[in-house]
Amino acid sequence: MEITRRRLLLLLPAAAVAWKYIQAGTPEAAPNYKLGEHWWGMLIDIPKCIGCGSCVRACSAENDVPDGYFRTWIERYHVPDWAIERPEVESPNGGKDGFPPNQSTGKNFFVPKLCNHCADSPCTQVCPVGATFVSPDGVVLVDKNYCLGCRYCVQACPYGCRFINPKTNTAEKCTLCYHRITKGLTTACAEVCPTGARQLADLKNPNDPIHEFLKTHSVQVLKPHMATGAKVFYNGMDGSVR
Amino acid sequence: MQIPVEGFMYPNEVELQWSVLIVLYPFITGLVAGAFILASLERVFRVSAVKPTYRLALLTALSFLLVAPLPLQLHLGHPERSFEMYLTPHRSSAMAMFGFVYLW
Amino acid sequence: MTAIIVAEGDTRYQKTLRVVGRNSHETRGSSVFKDTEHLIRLAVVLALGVVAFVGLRAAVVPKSFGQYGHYRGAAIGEIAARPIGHAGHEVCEGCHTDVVEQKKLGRHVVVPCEACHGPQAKHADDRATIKPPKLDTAVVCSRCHEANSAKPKTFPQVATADHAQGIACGTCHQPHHPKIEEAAESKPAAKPATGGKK
Repeated sequence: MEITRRRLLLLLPAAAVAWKYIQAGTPEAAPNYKLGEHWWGMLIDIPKCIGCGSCVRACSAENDVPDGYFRTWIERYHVPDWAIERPEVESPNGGKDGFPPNQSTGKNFFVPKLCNHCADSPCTQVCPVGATFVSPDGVVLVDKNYCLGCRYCVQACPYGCRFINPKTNTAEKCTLCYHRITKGLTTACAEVCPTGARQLADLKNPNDPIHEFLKTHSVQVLKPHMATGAKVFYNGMDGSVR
Repeated sequence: MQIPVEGFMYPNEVELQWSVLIVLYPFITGLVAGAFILASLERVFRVSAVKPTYRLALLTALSFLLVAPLPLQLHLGHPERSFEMYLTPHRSSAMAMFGFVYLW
Repeated sequence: MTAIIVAEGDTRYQKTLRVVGRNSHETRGSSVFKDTEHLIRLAVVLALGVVAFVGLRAAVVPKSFGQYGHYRGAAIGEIAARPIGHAGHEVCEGCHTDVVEQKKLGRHVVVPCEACHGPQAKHADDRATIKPPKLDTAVVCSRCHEANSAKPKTFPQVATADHAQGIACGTCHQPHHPKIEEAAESKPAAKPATGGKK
């Protein structure tokens, strides 16, 4: 095709638009998903959790989590008597293979933990370059092509949910299965939970049943004194959980 | 990867994050400051007793200064991206602001 | 102030100091700025440095940076483009209708397929070549049903060592409908009629 001046004048703005589109990322990964319509959170129902570890295994498989590190894990609490400030806690391999048989008296329960996707997140505050951020729909994500691996965010997280992936040498953590929730699916951990103890919540969607649950039940967040704006809510959680 | 711990620690926190490489940096900068003070004692404050150390102290200060950022760079997961801290520093991050100030 | 005293051997800087020490009406503006070359040089270098920095920044910083905040906007698309590992129980139920019927009879109807079978999106996409591996019931069942005081009291749990005495769970229990009825209808460990999993 011969490039005349006229053709070039018509071609250039089209090319500029296309270039901008390419540079802005690939929205076709989730074509019908509008960032502004969602505000993601999660509900964890402690009395329902049976500590089977399905969520830990599912997350590990879905997201290629390296061995020895955990994007989500389960803790077993044992409070022998009235002293809720002195629990005994264990988490054998993060609960990935379930828990060994145990018979003890007192209060015993499982607490699944994950990134709380804080609205006022300490990890995003301390990132020196802006590699970790709160997305417009409320999910705290890590840009592994920009992360230096300085480990500041891993230290800053009060919930201990971040780690450095030894393969990519960047920070990593639960992404709330962003690649799934932007396509209308639920997170891998909520998908496989046999008792429904873990449920994804869209806090901007009034029709979401979990949103309704949060409005009508007493729920807590972990470490409220840190004022992180955590968006993972725990139903039926004991005061001994730290 | 699993280090036995007494008591309970979050599973991801068993691995210590900032260890000996980070500690080396203030050690080396301390050496730089000390060497520089020794050199300036001779020239600025005119303490003639330390005159024989002047050249060595100044050279030491310069050479250690050039080497000081090295352990910091090496501990990073991606040292080749460290320039990002100067191009897009995150204003709320103490590390970025210090890095910026340190450079200038 | 006194008259100018310029001593021999003064450096230029020392001379300037002495000159400036005169009364203000004698100094006017010009003599204060006599030795300004170094200042101008510094200002020019600083200005060039700032220009170079801004130029470098414009060239190197990724274009989508700052699109939604202090981060690369393109990262959101990259993260959303990850391949999916778990298909979800609706996808499994589309083909494995016999298993669905079996599960409906018992309490395992609420248990998602991939809780035991692991991520099967690859199998769902390519059913012929990728087959899910056979599960070892001795391992899989005890994860949920091993007696542990932290599990809810109403949840069915057994101390496997006493209950099974070394025998795998699948020997007596059919995993999709695990309750052992007295009626002949649910034969324990029966091989399934169609291609569904045991």
